[in-house]
Amino acid sequence: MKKFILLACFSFLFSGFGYTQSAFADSLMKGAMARMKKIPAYVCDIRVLLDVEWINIKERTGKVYFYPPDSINYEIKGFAFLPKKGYNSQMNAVTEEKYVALHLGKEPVSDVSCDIVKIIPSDIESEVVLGQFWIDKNLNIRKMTIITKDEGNYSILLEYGAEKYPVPRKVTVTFDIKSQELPGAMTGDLEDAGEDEKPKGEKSKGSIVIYYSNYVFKK
Amino acid sequence: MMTLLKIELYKILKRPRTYIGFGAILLIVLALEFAFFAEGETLIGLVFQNLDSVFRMEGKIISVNFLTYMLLNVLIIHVPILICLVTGDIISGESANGSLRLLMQRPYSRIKIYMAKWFAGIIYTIALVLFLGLVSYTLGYLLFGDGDLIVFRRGVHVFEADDVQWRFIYAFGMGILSMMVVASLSIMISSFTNNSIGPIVGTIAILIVLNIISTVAANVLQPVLPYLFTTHFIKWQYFFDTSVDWGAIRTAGIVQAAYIVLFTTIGLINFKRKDILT
Repeated sequence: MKKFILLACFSFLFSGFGYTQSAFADSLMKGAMARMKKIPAYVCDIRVLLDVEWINIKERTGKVYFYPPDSINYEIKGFAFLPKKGYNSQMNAVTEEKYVALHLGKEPVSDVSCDIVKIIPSDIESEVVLGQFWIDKNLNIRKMTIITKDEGNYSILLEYGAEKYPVPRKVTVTFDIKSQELPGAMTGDLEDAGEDEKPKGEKSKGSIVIYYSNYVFKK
Repeated sequence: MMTLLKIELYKILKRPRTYIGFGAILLIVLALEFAFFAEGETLIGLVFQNLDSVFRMEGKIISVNFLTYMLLNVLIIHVPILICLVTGDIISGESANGSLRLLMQRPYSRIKIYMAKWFAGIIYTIALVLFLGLVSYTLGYLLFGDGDLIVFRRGVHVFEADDVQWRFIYAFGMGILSMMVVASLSIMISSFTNNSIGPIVGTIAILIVLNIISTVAANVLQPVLPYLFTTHFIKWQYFFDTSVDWGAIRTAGIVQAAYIVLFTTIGLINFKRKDILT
């Protein structure tokens, strides 16, 4: 009987602790989302740098037009590779459905102390399998890692400037990418690629760094 | 010499087969450019399938530069055949119909006659390659407009629109050099025979055999490959690398120039000694 009472007490205590943790994580997430949702439409200058071993492209410059909640239009001089989704649409994708939030402690990101929040979507069919967010005391998201079913895994690192809205001055998107696998007849590459080439289809890490400047917010 | 050259050019211009090459190039360019105009997005979609899952691609993919690059690939496969049609016939054709004998009675040395024919053949070759460039660029510009160039060669290279003109100029220059080798070879073979078909078929056969050797037996014949002129026919693509391998391009230029000199010298020596009996 004593054992049963003890077990019941432990279960009660830990379930309560877990609930508190989840509520805290949820409040952090919702707070960060609320801050992001306050961002009005804006236009700003961008510089885009791509770092993928087998893609050679110089820095691209242009403008980005943001329309709430998560629509982004780019105006780039020439051709550019850009992230598939904007950082805020990633957040929306994770949090617009039902999810479970867990607080996993604290960790510094770029020397800023952050709370780590893990997001597990409740829907088993959800495209996002898992999300993890690093949120600072001002409820700015400093880093996020998203694991998806079909679109691969990626991490987004955000650095902020002195803007009054939580908009970044630098975003680094890191992702997995397979090397290109195309027959020479299709691409016009008539020469053997050589022995030093990586095996085709091999996965490697790539990144896109975007610098944002000269924000003009619309009211 | 100039008079002889003018005569040879006049003869080339008067022959209907001269225009087969220009017509064929026009058809190839029209077919490819309109195919891209109609189905380009689908074709490019296949190429970009892998990248499309990771990136949002902003900007024009199919542009005049992309199409001109694709059409430059025609150089290695089709243009040599079109060149042989004219240059392979330049001596043997006249030998077959008896007009070479008449030409020999004129007060010109055999060296001058051969060189005039050679220069006329080279002018035709240059005109054909420039025609390819002009037609593909003009039509491409009208259909697709300007834009960055995306090249799939040892990965993906993206060149800004204002960084490609010099690459195309050099690439067409290298293409002309390669085609000059073909022209010199066919003129040389032409000096050995008395019928029109032999040099044309002979040159094409040599090109096919060397191309097959270069691709199929690449591993076995690796030490020999740098010395085959067909190996260097695709070196124009090196101008579309992010960091251009000037050493390899210089080697390709030297090897091809050496073959031009070799073929012309052999042809010239043979032509000087040739008994013209027909």
